[in-house]
Amino acid sequence: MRRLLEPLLTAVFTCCLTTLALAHAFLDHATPTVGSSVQGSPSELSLTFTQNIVAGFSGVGLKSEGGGSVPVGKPSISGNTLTARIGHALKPGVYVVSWHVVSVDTHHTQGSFKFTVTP
Amino acid sequence: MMVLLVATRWIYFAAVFVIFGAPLFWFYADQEALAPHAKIWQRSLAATRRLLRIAALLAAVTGIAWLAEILAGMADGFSSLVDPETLRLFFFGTQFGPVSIARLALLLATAIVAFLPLSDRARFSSFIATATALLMTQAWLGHAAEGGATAYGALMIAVYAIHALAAAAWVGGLPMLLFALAEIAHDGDAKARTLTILSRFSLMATLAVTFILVSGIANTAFRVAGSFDKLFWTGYGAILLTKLGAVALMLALAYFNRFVAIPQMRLSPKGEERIGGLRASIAVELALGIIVLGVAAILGITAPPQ
Repeated sequence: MRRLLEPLLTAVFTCCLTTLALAHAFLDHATPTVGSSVQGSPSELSLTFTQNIVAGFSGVGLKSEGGGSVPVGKPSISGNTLTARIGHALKPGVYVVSWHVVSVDTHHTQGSFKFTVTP
Repeated sequence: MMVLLVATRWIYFAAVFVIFGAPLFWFYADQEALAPHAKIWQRSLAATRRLLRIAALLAAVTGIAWLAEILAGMADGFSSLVDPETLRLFFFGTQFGPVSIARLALLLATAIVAFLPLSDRARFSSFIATATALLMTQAWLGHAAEGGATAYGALMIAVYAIHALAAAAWVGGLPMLLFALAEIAHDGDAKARTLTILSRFSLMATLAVTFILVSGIANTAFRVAGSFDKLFWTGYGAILLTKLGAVALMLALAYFNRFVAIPQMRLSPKGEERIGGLRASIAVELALGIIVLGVAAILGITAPPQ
């Protein structure tokens, strides 16, 4: 029994230790980078999450810090990355990206971050 | 919303555990009771049938409510339940959509089985089949689904399914043990029959606990990506440790029953005087099992440590 269990447990733990899989999708990284300053207007938003996300129930919005809404295109989703084109060139200033996603394990998460556009 | 979701999941888990563990009990504890015209365990079987009808209805109501709450949580609240486009996206545009459709069919089938004019053997076999499918497919509605359509994802689903099935066999069988002990208490040949069903339940529970512990450790490793130290400084860890504490108490009671109460009963001349204490111990074990299900209902919707 022990001879059978030991290799089995070792295989399971090796698998778990070497494969990073965390339930609930949280923002892993983004372009523009969270809290960054970018020179000139970015053309698109790209957000990568810690888990694969579901297209129909995930989205992103963009506002200037003053609250003015900026149009963004329909998001496209590939695995754990959501990409959306920005509707027009951004003037210098601070912008807030708000995202909401549903991960493949049915959990809903949301969040926001800022970036700054410099001349 | 969160409280409603936890309550719904808790009741659902308890109902499906009964639908799996209760009929299974009769197949390993005393299969002769399921034979046509059998004259044994009549009171216990009548209680089992009543409990299964209630559990089947509860599972149908809470199983549908659980799906509705998931959909409301990912869309624009409960108003989205009547939006055809949202429903189309949920059922046909997601990984969990087809599984959800299958689960709705299984819940309906379970409720129908509860009221069809079937023999106990046919009804109980059908319950075990639908509850097995329900316990396995709920893996796609939670953390175990994060692995996606990969070998790693399949391993996570398989480990979750083993954990749920083993736990349902153990906890879902406890009410049957109480029914049987209550019936035996009124029987002249109490000791021999008590020892027989106790030893059979004990063997099943030992196997179930082995699977629960191994799959539970693997499940935890999946959630924390192998870093078990995260359990000691996160909310997810606190909930999981609470669950482990309650399971440890259940195991202590099971150990007492298996290695103290049953041997004492075997040695005592009649054994009937021990049944009351044993029933109390099993009732506490069942109550702890229900608490564990409540903690599991919370754990399943709590974000694991990042």
